[in-house]
Amino acid sequence: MSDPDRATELRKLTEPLTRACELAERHEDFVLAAKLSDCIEWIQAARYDGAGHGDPSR
Amino acid sequence: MTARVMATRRDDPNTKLAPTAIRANGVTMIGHSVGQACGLLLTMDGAVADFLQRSKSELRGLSYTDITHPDDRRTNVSRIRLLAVGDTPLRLRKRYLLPQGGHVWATVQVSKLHTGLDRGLLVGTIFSLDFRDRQAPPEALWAAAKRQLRLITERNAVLGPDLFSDGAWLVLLGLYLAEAEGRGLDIGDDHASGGVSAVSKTKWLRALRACGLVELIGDREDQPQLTQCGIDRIERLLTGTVTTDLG
Repeated sequence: MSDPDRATELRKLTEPLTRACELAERHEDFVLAAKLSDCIEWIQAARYDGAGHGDPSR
Repeated sequence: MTARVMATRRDDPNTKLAPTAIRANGVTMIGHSVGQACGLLLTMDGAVADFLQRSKSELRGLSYTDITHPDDRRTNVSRIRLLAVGDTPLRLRKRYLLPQGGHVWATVQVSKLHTGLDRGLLVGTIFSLDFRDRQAPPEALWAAAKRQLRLITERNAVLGPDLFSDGAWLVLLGLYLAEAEGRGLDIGDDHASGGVSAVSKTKWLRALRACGLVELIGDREDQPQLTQCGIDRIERLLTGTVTTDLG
């Protein structure tokens, strides 16, 4: 996957989560916000950092 | 009513010092002491003097450092130095030296009075630690917390971190260890918190505050500490692992 494709894919995946996270914070559901935030971070770091995913050696 | 709520009420400078030990949540509240900002003790409840096995007159004029175990002194002084007037009470776990040798463990909540002529005086609310309730001394609980952190780190290394998500527990463990070791939680240090990023740590701290397990000293985001409820619950969990390890 090329870098622009990866960036698009990443945005598609994280944008709804980011909106949900913001909504959770507005509703003061901070546990949900933290979980969603972790999810966004994980997608950004583990899935789309160009190193693949599910590799236990990483 | 929890010991912490009682302690907060008793931190009110208008409240008279209480001579009676009050027991709640597995800790026994002994009473209060009042000292100058430099640490010199001015007055204390009779129960506090009894707990420290000295008379009030023997204690007056001593510094709290004179009766603090040498291994706890540096931490105690450095944390009190950070305390500002009107901040949320700082919680310390420490050993008081006894005049005949040996020591007693206590949890002390320290605040700096923010009103009137007494502004800036240190008020300590002292709780004894009863290890019959806790079943494990602080050193064992500290070691158990370190083991938990090590196990998570090793698990992530062997099985891969992608499978697990431990933000809340890692932040709680990080805070517990930071308090036990007399340092603040380093928000920016991912390694010390089992790989939890600064962003995640900040989010979880907010969530844990909403759950009543964490509070901020002086409303400063960079000065989180466990609430009494947070400490009690973590220690209940850690005590279980100590018992398992021994059994």
